[in-house]
Amino acid sequence: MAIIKTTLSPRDEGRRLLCAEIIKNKEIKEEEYTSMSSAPYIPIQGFFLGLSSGTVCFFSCAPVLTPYLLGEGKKTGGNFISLIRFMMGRLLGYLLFGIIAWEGGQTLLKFLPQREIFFGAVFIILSLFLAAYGFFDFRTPCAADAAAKSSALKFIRAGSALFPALLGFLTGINLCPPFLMALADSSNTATLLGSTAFFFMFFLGTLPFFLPMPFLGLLTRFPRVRMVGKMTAVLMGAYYFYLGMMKCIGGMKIQ
Amino acid sequence: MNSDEMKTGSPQKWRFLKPLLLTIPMALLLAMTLTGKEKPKDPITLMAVIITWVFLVTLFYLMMSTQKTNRYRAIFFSTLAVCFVFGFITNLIEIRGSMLLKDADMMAGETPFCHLVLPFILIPAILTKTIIFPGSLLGSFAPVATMVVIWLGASLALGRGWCSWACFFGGMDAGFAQILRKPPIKKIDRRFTLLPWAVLIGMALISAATLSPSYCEWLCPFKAVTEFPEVTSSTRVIQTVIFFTLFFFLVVLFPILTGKRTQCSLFCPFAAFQSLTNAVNVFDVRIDPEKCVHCKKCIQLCPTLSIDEESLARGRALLSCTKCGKCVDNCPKQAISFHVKGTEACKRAILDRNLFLYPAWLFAATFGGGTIAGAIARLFKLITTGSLF
Repeated sequence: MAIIKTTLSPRDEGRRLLCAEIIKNKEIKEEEYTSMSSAPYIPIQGFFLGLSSGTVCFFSCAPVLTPYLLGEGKKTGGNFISLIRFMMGRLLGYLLFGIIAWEGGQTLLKFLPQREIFFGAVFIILSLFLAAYGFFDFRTPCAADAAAKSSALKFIRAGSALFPALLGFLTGINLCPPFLMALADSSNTATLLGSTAFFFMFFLGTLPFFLPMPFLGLLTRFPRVRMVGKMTAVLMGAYYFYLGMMKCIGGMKIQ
Repeated sequence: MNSDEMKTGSPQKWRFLKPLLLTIPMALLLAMTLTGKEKPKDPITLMAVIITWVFLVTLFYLMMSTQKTNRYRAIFFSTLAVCFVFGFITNLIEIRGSMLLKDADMMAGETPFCHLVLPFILIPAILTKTIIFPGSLLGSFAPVATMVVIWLGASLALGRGWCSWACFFGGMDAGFAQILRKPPIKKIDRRFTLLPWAVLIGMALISAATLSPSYCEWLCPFKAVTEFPEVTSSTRVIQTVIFFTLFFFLVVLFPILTGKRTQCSLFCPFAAFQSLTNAVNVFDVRIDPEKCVHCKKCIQLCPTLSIDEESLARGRALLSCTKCGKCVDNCPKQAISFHVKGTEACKRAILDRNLFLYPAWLFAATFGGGTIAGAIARLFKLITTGSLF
């Protein structure tokens, strides 16, 4: 049998060696993980990173969460439910990033122009939702709520329940400084489970900072608080729209 | 008793003497506060201080003798705003050569601090123990600590009265609001009075998230007549356009068209923040339900939309009341009066008014007197030497 010899150009040879190196590193990491896998992997450093940078995380989300909670005009209990929905959306965003980080977090950071356009678009979408929330009332009237049988009303009800989760998701996939640190750290983990666990722990670390938010419900004794919340939502919408536009324009210029 | 005697509560023979006696302590106090520790050596400055003193004492005497508060307060307030802008701009040109604030000035912490930024530095100051403003804490021109102390004093003495007695920006839209006797726009949707709260919450959150004084950077209309960052980027272009647009609409056009202080009542976040101090301040404005005939003249005239039907029924102005005294001056039945909390309302109107006017005028004249004297001194320099500097 004849042996076919192929000659690679220096560039292709370089690529081959780089790929081999990456595969080797990944195998080594997986071996290390397999050897440790008798004990459950809990990236506690993710938790502490979240705990130490939670204030920054909180103030990155507060411009979205505060107008929403004020605009709903719910009491403390109702706000807790809204907060849980918001946090679930945020967790979903984090876990999504956990997967991306595992697949190639470092590579993601290198593609700067596309990244800017992507996050700019996220900001613009967020701004549109905030503006819509400010201008329109998506809640069904009490009487209609009780007898919500039509598909349109059901849709509105489901939409209003999912809305905080959507806001949480959109804020969850923003690149605030602590989030970037988490992204960089988690991309060093070898497995999908490790990466998502890292982000989950990071999320848990930031959680305590959000717990006082439902107490905004104490302000409902002032009758005009809802209107103030709605106006703030529009204002925040304008702010995020500007940020989004600037990011997109910046990203296009880099390209 | 004739009608004047009825109004002042004094017989005719006391008509000139009583206000004079009430003015003498104020005149002495103002002489001390305007001159500082010693008489100014420079004749131009001395002349400016004397003119300012005469102006302030005369206004106070007129307030006391006519029992009209807003009429004379408004003259002082608009004069203060004009003198502030004139003095501030000439000062900037003298020091920096232009109104433009350069990055180097900000880096060196040489940005003058104004009270409008106060609500936005609080959260970052608590969280990071740093002042997120490119000014200095103690030294240089208008340092942070001095303004905070002045603001605390004003809040104790006046509450939101600051916005009608001492704010050097407020006199601008108040002045423009006086231009037309019959403004064409009569009705403003009262929901817009909540906008300052939204701006306050929004800007405070953005300031905390970005650790920068966002209101100053983006929305302050008074940048147009004080100082604004040098235009070096597209962002700065947008910011400068926003400053001038907001100034034109909120401080000039809308006040002329509505007769209301639109910037102060419909946009200024500091105004919303300062309203909270009304809750702890000892003075407020009360409406006597027995005298009130519900003519609603006060609702129509209030420049900051601080009286509505609901508050009329409750017998007190809203928390946003700036204690300008316009409703007190114009009520046809004298049903509205200044009031000291904890005392019986509407029963001792003259005493309560005097108790309010003393700290209010002393603070306003002390705080604003230096600004007015400085501007007059600049004008004298211009006349005598041909140069402002």
